[in-house]
Amino acid sequence: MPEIGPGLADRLRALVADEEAPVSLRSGIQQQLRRPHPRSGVGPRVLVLATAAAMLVAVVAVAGGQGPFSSDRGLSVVTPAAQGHAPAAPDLPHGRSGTRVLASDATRTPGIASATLQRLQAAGYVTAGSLDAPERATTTRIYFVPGYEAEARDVARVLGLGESAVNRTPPAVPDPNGAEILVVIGSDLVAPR
Amino acid sequence: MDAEVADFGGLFEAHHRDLFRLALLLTGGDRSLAEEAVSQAFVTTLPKWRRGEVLDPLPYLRRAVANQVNGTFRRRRLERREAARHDDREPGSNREGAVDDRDVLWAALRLLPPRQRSAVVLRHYLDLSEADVARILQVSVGTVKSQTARGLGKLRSALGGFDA
Repeated sequence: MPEIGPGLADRLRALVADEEAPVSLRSGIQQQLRRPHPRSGVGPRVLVLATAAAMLVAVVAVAGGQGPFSSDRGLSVVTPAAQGHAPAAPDLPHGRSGTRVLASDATRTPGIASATLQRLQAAGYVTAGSLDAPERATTTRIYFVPGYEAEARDVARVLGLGESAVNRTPPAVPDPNGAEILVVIGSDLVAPR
Repeated sequence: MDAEVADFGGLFEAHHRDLFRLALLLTGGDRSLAEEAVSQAFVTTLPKWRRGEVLDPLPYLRRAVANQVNGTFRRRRLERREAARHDDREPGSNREGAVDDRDVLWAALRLLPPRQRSAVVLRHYLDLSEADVARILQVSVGTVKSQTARGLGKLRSALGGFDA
């Protein structure tokens, strides 16, 4: 390792010493803070998600042979409902703004998780991030923690899926991030070009 | 948790300026990317903060900022396109007049690939240990050493010595 120049740290500090964060940074955070706090007592829900981890893995493993996914090339991230407007929010116990949704990509399609979350966010849902599913899936599944079935059915509607996509048993994910609903994105949400 | 940052708004007020400056260095002076990184760092920290999972906020936020910057660079593949994008992004570009030492240092920082720049900035601007930098960048200590060394070597070449 080269000898550290004694002036570098000082020069770096001086370089940014007068830099002020843009005003828009503060306003953006204030907007986030004004959003309703969707979860109180989220711990048990996370626990429920966590305890069901093995179930999803097992289910996916059993169903793993349902159509090998030959290639991701030539696929777009357009969802079946992507072209239309989100359905109006029905009367939901927790409301869209009180429900956090985590997306899990089981297709290995770049951008599909964020595209799906953007649709849900546009409809009013709170997004809780995304991750890659351990196994690929052909059918999208929507899982919910107890008490969020109505919201899960609404998520299915927003994504243009039938209610058969909604499942009561929540699978576990590495970091549920406090989500009440998990969308495991299957290749049926990925439209061929 | 410090009493003065007992709420998230207080946390923001206490740290956003320093985090923005860190992000500015990590991005090589890209103000919009730096703002986005800091904003996303706070946004992703908020739910964990509310759940009481962030016990030591500043290191957590620094790591979040570094992750955001590195993630963005990865996604956008800026490493290959950086040179072509830099001319109109430097902080000093809105200042009229001759090139000064600040311009030279920004230009030198932008010569570094993002990971080398992150290693150098975290190690020398924040004065973090190699182990801490390794944790933030999620690489080995050996990688931190090599990335820092390469970065310093390039900076040294570009600047003609750090004492200049």
